[in-house]
Amino acid sequence: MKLSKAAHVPAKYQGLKDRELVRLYRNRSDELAFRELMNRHQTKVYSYIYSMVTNPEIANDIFQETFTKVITKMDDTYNEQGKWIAWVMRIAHNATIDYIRKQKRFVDVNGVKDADSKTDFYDRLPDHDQIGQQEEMELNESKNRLLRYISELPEEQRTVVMLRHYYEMPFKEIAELTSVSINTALGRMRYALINLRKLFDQEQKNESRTV
Amino acid sequence: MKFDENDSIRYLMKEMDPSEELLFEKRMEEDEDLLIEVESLRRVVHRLSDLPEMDPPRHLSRNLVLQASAHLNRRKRRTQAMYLSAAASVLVAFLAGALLFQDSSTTGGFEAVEPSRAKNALPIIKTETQSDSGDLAPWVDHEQDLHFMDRYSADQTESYDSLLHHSYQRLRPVRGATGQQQDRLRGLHLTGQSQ
Repeated sequence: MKLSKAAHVPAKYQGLKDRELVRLYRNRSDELAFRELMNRHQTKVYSYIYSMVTNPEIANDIFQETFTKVITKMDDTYNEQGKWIAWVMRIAHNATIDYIRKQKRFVDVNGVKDADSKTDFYDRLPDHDQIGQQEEMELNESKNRLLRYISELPEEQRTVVMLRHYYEMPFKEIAELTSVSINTALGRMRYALINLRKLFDQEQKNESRTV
Repeated sequence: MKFDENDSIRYLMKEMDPSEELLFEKRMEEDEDLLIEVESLRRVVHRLSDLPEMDPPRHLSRNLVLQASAHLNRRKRRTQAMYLSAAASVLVAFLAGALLFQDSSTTGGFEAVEPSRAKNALPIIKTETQSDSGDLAPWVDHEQDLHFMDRYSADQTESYDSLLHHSYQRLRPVRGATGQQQDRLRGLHLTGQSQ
Protein backbone atom coordinates (compact mmCIF):
# COMPACT_ATOMS: atom_id res chain seq x y z
CA MET A 1 0.00 0.00 0.00
CA LYS A 2 2.79 2.37 -0.89
CA LEU A 3 1.44 5.73 -1.88
CA SER A 4 4.50 7.70 -2.82
CA LYS A 5 8.18 7.42 -3.44
CA ALA A 6 10.76 8.99 -1.22
CA ALA A 7 12.19 12.39 -2.12
CA HIS A 8 15.64 12.18 -3.64
CA VAL A 9 18.52 12.77 -1.25
CA PRO A 10 22.23 12.37 -2.11
CA ALA A 11 23.73 9.03 -1.11
CA LYS A 12 26.09 10.50 1.48
CA TYR A 13 23.12 11.34 3.72
CA GLN A 14 21.90 7.77 3.68
CA GLY A 15 24.97 6.59 5.57
CA LEU A 16 24.49 9.09 8.39
CA LYS A 17 22.82 8.29 11.68
CA ASP A 18 19.65 10.09 12.74
CA ARG A 19 21.59 12.05 15.33
CA GLU A 20 24.07 13.30 12.72
CA LEU A 21 21.26 14.30 10.39
CA VAL A 22 19.52 16.20 13.17
CA ARG A 23 22.78 18.06 13.91
CA LEU A 24 23.18 18.97 10.24
CA TYR A 25 19.65 20.32 10.15
CA ARG A 26 19.91 22.22 13.41
CA ASN A 27 23.44 23.58 13.19
CA ARG A 28 23.99 23.96 9.46
CA SER A 29 20.41 24.46 8.34
CA ASP A 30 20.80 21.51 5.98
CA GLU A 31 17.43 20.95 4.35
CA LEU A 32 18.54 17.65 2.78
CA ALA A 33 19.23 16.23 6.22
CA PHE A 34 15.60 16.82 7.11
CA ARG A 35 14.49 15.20 3.86
CA GLU A 36 16.52 12.12 4.69
CA LEU A 37 14.99 11.93 8.16
CA MET A 38 11.55 12.17 6.57
CA ASN A 39 12.39 9.49 4.02
CA ARG A 40 13.56 7.16 6.75
CA HIS A 41 10.69 7.48 9.15
CA GLN A 42 7.62 8.93 7.46
CA THR A 43 6.20 5.54 6.46
CA LYS A 44 6.33 4.14 9.96
CA VAL A 45 4.99 7.30 11.55
CA TYR A 46 2.17 7.48 9.01
CA SER A 47 1.40 3.76 9.33
CA TYR A 48 1.22 4.09 13.10
CA ILE A 49 -1.15 7.04 12.88
CA TYR A 50 -3.26 5.41 10.18
CA SER A 51 -3.55 2.14 12.07
CA MET A 52 -4.77 4.07 15.11
CA VAL A 53 -7.39 6.21 13.38
CA THR A 54 -8.12 4.12 10.23
CA ASN A 55 -9.16 7.14 8.25
CA PRO A 56 -6.84 8.54 5.56
CA GLU A 57 -7.94 12.16 5.90
CA ILE A 58 -7.60 12.20 9.66
CA ALA A 59 -4.29 10.34 9.39
CA ASN A 60 -3.08 13.03 6.96
CA ASP A 61 -4.09 15.80 9.37
CA ILE A 62 -2.41 14.18 12.34
CA PHE A 63 0.71 13.40 10.29
CA GLN A 64 0.94 17.03 9.18
CA GLU A 65 0.36 18.29 12.70
CA THR A 66 3.07 15.94 13.97
CA PHE A 67 5.74 17.05 11.52
CA THR A 68 4.80 20.72 11.79
CA LYS A 69 5.52 20.41 15.51
CA VAL A 70 8.73 18.51 14.74
CA ILE A 71 9.92 21.32 12.44
CA THR A 72 9.13 24.13 14.85
CA LYS A 73 10.20 22.40 18.07
CA MET A 74 13.34 20.68 16.85
CA ASP A 75 15.46 23.78 17.54
CA ASP A 76 14.65 24.01 21.21
CA THR A 77 12.56 21.15 22.58
CA TYR A 78 14.37 18.12 21.18
CA ASN A 79 17.18 16.95 23.41
CA GLU A 80 19.91 15.28 21.37
CA GLN A 81 20.56 12.76 24.13
CA GLY A 82 17.42 10.84 23.24
CA LYS A 83 16.55 9.08 20.00
CA TRP A 84 15.07 11.50 17.50
CA ILE A 85 12.48 9.02 16.31
CA ALA A 86 11.32 8.28 19.84
CA TRP A 87 10.76 12.02 20.26
CA VAL A 88 8.84 12.18 16.96
CA MET A 89 6.79 9.14 17.95
CA ARG A 90 5.89 10.79 21.23
CA ILE A 91 4.53 13.78 19.31
CA ALA A 92 2.68 11.52 16.86
CA HIS A 93 1.30 9.39 19.69
CA ASN A 94 0.10 12.41 21.69
CA ALA A 95 -1.56 13.95 18.63
CA THR A 96 -3.25 10.63 17.80
CA ILE A 97 -4.44 10.01 21.34
CA ASP A 98 -5.73 13.60 21.58
CA TYR A 99 -7.80 12.99 18.47
CA ILE A 100 -9.12 9.62 19.67
CA ARG A 101 -10.06 11.05 23.05
CA LYS A 102 -11.87 13.95 21.45
CA GLN A 103 -13.82 11.47 19.36
CA LYS A 104 -14.62 9.41 22.43
CA ARG A 105 -16.42 12.38 23.92
CA PHE A 106 -19.03 11.90 21.23
CA VAL A 107 -19.11 8.14 20.81
CA ASP A 108 -17.82 5.84 23.52
CA VAL A 109 -16.39 2.78 21.83
CA ASN A 110 -14.78 0.72 24.56
CA GLY A 111 -13.35 -2.70 24.03
CA VAL A 112 -12.02 -5.12 26.55
CA LYS A 113 -9.96 -3.38 29.17
CA ASP A 114 -7.16 -5.44 30.56
CA ALA A 115 -7.55 -7.71 33.58
CA ASP A 116 -9.98 -5.51 35.46
CA SER A 117 -12.52 -5.45 32.66
CA LYS A 118 -15.78 -7.24 33.39
CA THR A 119 -17.37 -7.62 29.99
CA ASP A 120 -16.24 -10.08 27.37
CA PHE A 121 -14.54 -8.92 24.22
CA TYR A 122 -16.89 -11.09 22.10
CA ASP A 123 -19.87 -9.10 23.33
CA ARG A 124 -18.56 -6.02 21.62
CA LEU A 125 -17.57 -7.51 18.30
CA PRO A 126 -19.39 -6.05 15.33
CA ASP A 127 -21.93 -8.31 13.72
CA HIS A 128 -20.18 -9.25 10.50
CA ASP A 129 -23.44 -10.43 8.98
CA GLN A 130 -24.65 -6.87 9.12
CA ILE A 131 -21.68 -5.51 7.23
CA GLY A 132 -22.69 -4.94 3.66
CA GLN A 133 -21.41 -7.28 0.99
CA GLN A 134 -19.81 -4.38 -0.82
CA GLU A 135 -17.87 -3.41 2.26
CA GLU A 136 -16.90 -7.00 2.85
CA MET A 137 -15.51 -7.16 -0.67
CA GLU A 138 -13.51 -4.01 -0.11
CA LEU A 139 -12.06 -5.38 3.07
CA ASN A 140 -11.37 -8.71 1.47
CA GLU A 141 -7.65 -8.44 1.57
CA SER A 142 -6.09 -10.05 4.56
CA LYS A 143 -4.05 -6.97 5.39
CA ASN A 144 -7.04 -4.71 5.51
CA ARG A 145 -8.88 -7.22 7.62
CA LEU A 146 -6.00 -7.32 10.02
CA LEU A 147 -5.99 -3.57 10.20
CA ARG A 148 -9.70 -3.59 10.89
CA TYR A 149 -9.28 -6.08 13.71
CA ILE A 150 -6.62 -3.96 15.22
CA SER A 151 -8.82 -0.90 15.00
CA GLU A 152 -11.34 -2.81 17.11
CA LEU A 153 -8.89 -3.19 19.97
CA PRO A 154 -9.11 -0.78 22.88
CA GLU A 155 -6.94 2.25 22.32
CA GLU A 156 -4.37 1.35 25.01
CA GLN A 157 -3.84 -2.14 23.59
CA ARG A 158 -3.73 -0.89 20.01
CA THR A 159 -1.10 1.67 20.93
CA VAL A 160 1.22 -0.96 22.42
CA VAL A 161 0.79 -3.31 19.44
CA MET A 162 1.48 -0.56 16.93
CA LEU A 163 4.46 0.95 18.71
CA ARG A 164 5.95 -2.49 19.04
CA HIS A 165 5.19 -3.50 15.48
CA TYR A 166 6.21 -0.37 13.60
CA TYR A 167 9.10 0.67 15.80
CA GLU A 168 10.13 -2.53 17.54
CA MET A 169 10.10 -0.25 20.54
CA PRO A 170 11.30 -1.91 23.75
CA PHE A 171 8.57 -2.21 26.38
CA LYS A 172 10.56 0.10 28.62
CA GLU A 173 10.20 2.87 26.04
CA ILE A 174 6.55 2.03 25.36
CA ALA A 175 5.92 2.26 29.08
CA GLU A 176 7.62 5.67 29.24
CA LEU A 177 5.78 6.95 26.20
CA THR A 178 2.38 5.88 27.49
CA SER A 179 3.17 6.81 31.11
CA VAL A 180 2.57 3.35 32.58
CA SER A 181 4.75 0.69 34.19
CA ILE A 182 6.54 -1.93 32.09
CA ASN A 183 4.27 -4.61 33.54
CA THR A 184 1.18 -2.68 32.46
CA ALA A 185 2.62 -2.27 28.95
CA LEU A 186 3.38 -6.01 28.79
CA GLY A 187 -0.09 -6.79 30.12
CA ARG A 188 -1.70 -4.60 27.46
CA MET A 189 0.25 -6.43 24.79
CA ARG A 190 -0.86 -9.77 26.20
CA TYR A 191 -4.52 -8.76 26.22
CA ALA A 192 -4.20 -7.33 22.73
CA LEU A 193 -2.84 -10.65 21.45
CA ILE A 194 -5.55 -12.59 23.27
CA ASN A 195 -8.23 -10.34 21.79
CA LEU A 196 -6.75 -10.66 18.31
CA ARG A 197 -6.62 -14.42 18.73
CA LYS A 198 -10.34 -14.40 19.49
CA LEU A 199 -10.96 -12.30 16.39
CA PHE A 200 -8.94 -14.66 14.22
CA ASP A 201 -10.85 -17.62 15.66
CA GLN A 202 -14.11 -15.87 14.91
CA GLU A 203 -12.90 -15.18 11.40
CA GLN A 204 -12.06 -18.85 10.93
CA LYS A 205 -15.48 -19.91 12.19
CA ASN A 206 -17.17 -17.50 9.77
CA GLU A 207 -15.10 -18.79 6.87
CA SER A 208 -15.85 -22.43 7.69
CA ARG A 209 -19.57 -21.55 7.99
CA THR A 210 -19.62 -19.98 4.53
CA VAL A 211 -17.78 -23.02 3.06
CA MET B 1 12.43 -18.68 39.76
CA LYS B 2 8.92 -17.25 39.66
CA PHE B 3 7.18 -16.51 36.37
CA ASP B 4 4.24 -14.24 35.85
CA GLU B 5 1.68 -14.18 33.06
CA ASN B 6 3.53 -11.43 31.16
CA ASP B 7 6.60 -13.64 30.78
CA SER B 8 5.08 -15.31 27.73
CA ILE B 9 5.06 -11.86 26.10
CA ARG B 10 8.60 -11.09 27.20
CA TYR B 11 9.64 -14.46 25.80
CA LEU B 12 7.88 -13.95 22.46
CA MET B 13 9.10 -10.39 22.11
CA LYS B 14 12.65 -11.42 22.97
CA GLU B 15 12.85 -9.20 25.99
CA MET B 16 14.30 -11.90 28.26
CA ASP B 17 17.97 -12.34 28.94
CA PRO B 18 19.43 -15.72 27.82
CA SER B 19 19.30 -17.31 31.26
CA GLU B 20 15.63 -16.32 31.73
CA GLU B 21 14.86 -17.65 28.27
CA LEU B 22 16.37 -21.05 29.09
CA LEU B 23 14.43 -21.30 32.32
CA PHE B 24 11.20 -20.32 30.56
CA GLU B 25 11.71 -22.94 27.84
CA LYS B 26 12.35 -25.56 30.50
CA ARG B 27 9.10 -24.55 32.17
CA MET B 28 7.22 -24.82 28.87
CA GLU B 29 8.49 -28.38 28.50
CA GLU B 30 7.00 -29.18 31.86
CA ASP B 31 3.75 -27.23 31.48
CA GLU B 32 1.77 -28.15 28.37
CA ASP B 33 -0.85 -25.43 28.89
CA LEU B 34 1.85 -22.80 28.94
CA LEU B 35 3.34 -24.22 25.76
CA ILE B 36 -0.06 -24.09 24.00
CA GLU B 37 -0.64 -20.55 25.25
CA VAL B 38 2.75 -19.36 24.01
CA GLU B 39 2.43 -21.08 20.62
CA SER B 40 -1.02 -19.65 19.99
CA LEU B 41 0.20 -16.16 20.86
CA ARG B 42 3.20 -16.71 18.61
CA ARG B 43 0.83 -17.36 15.68
CA VAL B 44 -0.95 -14.08 16.39
CA VAL B 45 2.37 -12.22 16.54
CA HIS B 46 3.38 -13.86 13.28
CA ARG B 47 0.21 -12.67 11.64
CA LEU B 48 0.89 -9.14 12.78
CA SER B 49 3.88 -9.13 10.44
CA ASP B 50 1.29 -8.81 7.64
CA LEU B 51 0.35 -5.35 8.87
CA PRO B 52 0.62 -2.98 5.93
CA GLU B 53 3.03 -0.08 5.81
CA MET B 54 1.67 3.09 4.29
CA ASP B 55 3.48 6.09 2.91
CA PRO B 56 1.87 9.46 3.44
CA PRO B 57 0.52 11.11 0.28
CA ARG B 58 3.33 12.63 -1.77
CA HIS B 59 1.96 16.19 -1.64
CA LEU B 60 1.92 16.00 2.14
CA SER B 61 5.61 15.02 2.37
CA ARG B 62 6.52 17.68 -0.18
CA ASN B 63 4.64 20.37 1.78
CA LEU B 64 6.42 19.38 4.96
CA VAL B 65 9.83 19.57 3.31
CA LEU B 66 8.90 23.06 2.00
CA GLN B 67 7.71 24.00 5.45
CA ALA B 68 11.05 22.90 6.93
CA SER B 69 12.87 24.92 4.29
CA ALA B 70 10.79 28.04 5.05
CA HIS B 71 11.45 27.54 8.74
CA LEU B 72 15.20 27.39 8.08
CA ASN B 73 15.03 30.61 6.03
CA ARG B 74 13.13 32.39 8.80
CA ARG B 75 15.70 31.19 11.30
CA LYS B 76 18.56 32.41 9.07
CA ARG B 77 16.98 35.86 8.77
CA ARG B 78 16.44 36.04 12.53
CA THR B 79 20.06 35.07 13.17
CA GLN B 80 21.35 37.61 10.63
CA ALA B 81 19.24 40.39 12.15
CA MET B 82 20.54 39.45 15.58
CA TYR B 83 24.18 39.55 14.41
CA LEU B 84 23.63 42.88 12.63
CA SER B 85 22.09 44.53 15.65
CA ALA B 86 24.89 43.17 17.83
CA ALA B 87 27.50 44.50 15.37
CA ALA B 88 25.75 47.88 15.24
CA SER B 89 25.70 48.08 19.03
CA VAL B 90 29.41 47.25 19.19
CA LEU B 91 30.18 49.88 16.54
CA VAL B 92 28.16 52.57 18.30
CA ALA B 93 29.81 51.72 21.61
CA PHE B 94 33.24 51.83 19.94
CA LEU B 95 32.58 55.22 18.33
CA ALA B 96 31.22 56.68 21.54
CA GLY B 97 34.25 55.40 23.39
CA ALA B 98 36.60 56.80 20.77
CA LEU B 99 34.87 60.20 20.86
CA LEU B 100 35.09 60.36 24.63
CA PHE B 101 38.73 59.38 24.48
CA GLN B 102 39.55 62.01 21.86
CA ASP B 103 37.67 64.78 23.66
CA SER B 104 39.35 64.09 26.95
CA SER B 105 42.87 64.40 25.50
CA THR B 106 44.32 67.93 25.82
CA THR B 107 46.91 68.15 23.03
CA GLY B 108 46.70 71.28 20.81
CA GLY B 109 48.58 69.89 17.81
CA PHE B 110 47.32 68.43 14.58
CA GLU B 111 46.87 64.81 15.65
CA ALA B 112 45.30 62.33 13.37
CA VAL B 113 41.79 61.26 14.25
CA GLU B 114 40.02 58.11 13.06
CA PRO B 115 38.85 58.45 9.47
CA SER B 116 35.38 57.28 10.50
CA ARG B 117 35.20 60.00 13.07
CA ALA B 118 36.51 62.69 10.69
CA LYS B 119 34.02 61.57 8.07
CA ASN B 120 31.12 61.53 10.42
CA ALA B 121 31.83 64.88 12.04
CA LEU B 122 29.56 67.57 10.68
CA PRO B 123 30.85 71.02 9.80
CA ILE B 124 29.63 73.69 12.12
CA ILE B 125 28.44 76.72 10.18
CA LYS B 126 27.57 79.63 12.26
CA THR B 127 26.07 82.82 10.89
CA GLU B 128 25.70 86.07 12.70
CA THR B 129 23.64 89.19 12.02
CA GLN B 130 26.23 91.36 13.59
CA SER B 131 29.95 91.11 13.53
CA ASP B 132 31.91 90.91 16.72
CA SER B 133 34.19 93.75 15.60
CA GLY B 134 32.42 97.03 15.02
CA ASP B 135 34.47 98.15 11.99
CA LEU B 136 33.35 95.26 9.71
CA ALA B 137 30.16 95.49 7.65
CA PRO B 138 27.97 92.40 7.23
CA TRP B 139 27.89 90.12 4.12
CA VAL B 140 26.89 92.17 1.01
CA ASP B 141 24.01 89.94 -0.03
CA HIS B 142 22.61 88.87 3.28
CA GLU B 143 24.22 91.30 5.57
CA GLN B 144 25.91 88.44 7.35
CA ASP B 145 29.36 87.24 8.09
CA LEU B 146 30.23 83.63 7.50
CA HIS B 147 31.83 81.53 10.13
CA PHE B 148 33.09 78.15 9.18
CA MET B 149 34.46 75.68 11.65
CA ASP B 150 35.17 72.00 11.19
CA ARG B 151 37.01 69.13 12.75
CA TYR B 152 39.92 67.92 10.71
CA SER B 153 42.43 65.16 10.61
CA ALA B 154 46.04 65.24 9.45
CA ASP B 155 45.18 63.77 6.05
CA GLN B 156 42.55 66.43 5.46
CA THR B 157 44.93 69.38 5.86
CA GLU B 158 45.50 69.68 2.13
CA SER B 159 41.82 69.90 1.23
CA TYR B 160 41.28 72.35 4.06
CA ASP B 161 44.06 74.61 2.74
CA SER B 162 42.59 74.37 -0.74
CA LEU B 163 39.22 75.48 0.65
CA LEU B 164 40.89 78.46 2.30
CA HIS B 165 42.64 79.41 -0.94
CA HIS B 166 39.40 79.35 -2.94
CA SER B 167 37.57 81.26 -0.24
CA TYR B 168 40.06 84.14 -0.44
CA GLN B 169 39.23 84.69 -4.16
CA ARG B 170 35.73 86.02 -3.37
CA LEU B 171 35.83 86.72 0.35
CA ARG B 172 38.32 88.04 2.71
CA PRO B 173 39.05 87.00 6.24
CA VAL B 174 37.68 89.06 9.07
CA ARG B 175 40.59 90.60 10.77
CA GLY B 176 41.80 88.81 13.84
CA ALA B 177 39.27 85.99 13.48
CA THR B 178 40.63 83.71 10.74
CA GLY B 179 42.47 80.52 11.37
CA GLN B 180 41.21 79.75 14.84
CA GLN B 181 42.75 76.58 16.11
CA GLN B 182 41.36 74.86 19.11
CA ASP B 183 41.89 71.24 19.94
CA ARG B 184 41.61 69.69 16.44
CA LEU B 185 39.16 72.38 15.27
CA ARG B 186 40.03 75.03 12.72
CA GLY B 187 37.76 77.92 11.98
CA LEU B 188 37.34 80.55 9.28
CA HIS B 189 35.55 83.83 9.60
CA LEU B 190 35.05 85.52 6.24
CA THR B 191 33.26 88.50 4.83
CA GLY B 192 32.51 89.71 1.29
CA GLN B 193 33.13 93.39 2.15
CA SER B 194 36.12 94.97 0.37
CA GLN B 195 37.11 97.37 3.16
